[in-house]
Amino acid sequence: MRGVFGVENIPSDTQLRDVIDTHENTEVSSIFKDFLTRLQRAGQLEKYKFLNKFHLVALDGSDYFSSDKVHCDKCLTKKTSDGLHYHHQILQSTIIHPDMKRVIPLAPEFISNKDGMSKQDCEHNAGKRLIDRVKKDHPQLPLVWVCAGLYVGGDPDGK
Amino acid sequence: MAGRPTKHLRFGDLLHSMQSSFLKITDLRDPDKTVHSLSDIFTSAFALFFLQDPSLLAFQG
Repeated sequence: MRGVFGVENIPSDTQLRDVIDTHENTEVSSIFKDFLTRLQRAGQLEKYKFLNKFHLVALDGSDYFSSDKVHCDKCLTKKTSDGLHYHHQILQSTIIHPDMKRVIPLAPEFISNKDGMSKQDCEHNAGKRLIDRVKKDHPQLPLVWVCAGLYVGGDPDGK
Repeated sequence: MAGRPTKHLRFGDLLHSMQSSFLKITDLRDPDKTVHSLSDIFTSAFALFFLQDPSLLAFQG
């Protein structure tokens, strides 16, 4: 850890969880933008061009926490026959290419309730936020979004 | 494109860039009760996933 990663004082797993849990993901999301820009400048994204022009971005949501008891203010809720079910979801986008084994992840968007929201957050709304953010971060990058059926009926461009 | 990674994509450069972002994070903890820097904590979390260790608890060992 010290030699390769330069960590001077290695934290325990509890300390690591306790501290990271108090920070928003947006505080580190600029890293994804920086890394993609580096790949672009180094010409590495050329290999991911689809139809000689576009980059395919796969977009999909996933549950990463689920409980009938443990919950927080940001939990999404679902009514079941046994009561309320709590869960957290994430929306992940990734640059892909049929011939490339490696994929290039972009910064995720969390699907979670925030203070002042009248309705629950959902994958569709998170998708709009994510697409807007990626387009703002990389305006020159021609992207084709590969989305699930839930985006049908709305403009996949988030507009 | 094959061969040695270009200058901006070497592991050390990427790690340095990432740690520069960690240094910008506001530390809201009481400095008198702080043992680990935020950069050490976030870098350790990155290392855990980079090395694909199956257990957070075992990783600290």
